[in-house]
Amino acid sequence: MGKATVTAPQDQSIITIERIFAVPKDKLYKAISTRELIAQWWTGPGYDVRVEEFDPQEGGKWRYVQSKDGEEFAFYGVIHEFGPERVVQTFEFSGLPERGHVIMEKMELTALDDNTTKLQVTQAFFSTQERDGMLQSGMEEGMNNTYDVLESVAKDL
Amino acid sequence: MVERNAYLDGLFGSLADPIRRDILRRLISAQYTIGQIASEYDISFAAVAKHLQVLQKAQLIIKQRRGKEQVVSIAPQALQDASYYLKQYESLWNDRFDRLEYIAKEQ
Repeated sequence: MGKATVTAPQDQSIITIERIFAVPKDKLYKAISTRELIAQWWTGPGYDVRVEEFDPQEGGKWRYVQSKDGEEFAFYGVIHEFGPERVVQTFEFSGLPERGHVIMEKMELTALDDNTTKLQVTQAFFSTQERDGMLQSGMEEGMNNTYDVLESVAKDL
Repeated sequence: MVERNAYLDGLFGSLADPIRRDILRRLISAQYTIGQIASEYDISFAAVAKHLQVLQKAQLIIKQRRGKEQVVSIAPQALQDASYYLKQYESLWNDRFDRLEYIAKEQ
């Protein structure tokens, strides 16, 4: 099973996430473009995800609600482009104390062979501060893996 | 380099115990008094205090006196490492992508 590579360059306010999937491109595209399937993978440990809006076309909206222990947070945005090669959309999170922290997100799908697909996600932020805030917020959700994470950090030293 | 390894030995030694890992997990999202932490486990107050001592020695937590109580919080130096956050974010996406791959294969 492939592993995602995440990079956050110091001098650019972006995050890139790349992973090679052992799946044909059309199947991967189906999983990211089918409303009923999104909730099944777009989630975190212990969360439930409800897709409230998903209109995969230029100007369409998306809105996913995550709930955990009775608390709900929404992730939402506007779709700029939705196709088997590329998805471009904005991304906002309702749990932030103020509005205006909009992220531009691009997903690119590339078929490497009949059964292998590269997925590249680029998230562009207004500033490196906002970008770092996003990285830190990923922490609580992924906390179940503390030990694994520390171990992998140690391996890189 | 030697210093860094000693630090990591402390880090991993202290994380080898499931209760210590669990304590650390709780402290990620909030601060607690020693009494509050102790009430979460079926072991004695003294045993919990001992676990906290190990975590403190590994620089994973800090204790601060607030009035009559000692408040325990996660130590920034152990976790505010940029690479730590990056790995954390990576693990979130890997988790998500593992499911995506599984679902896509079924299509």
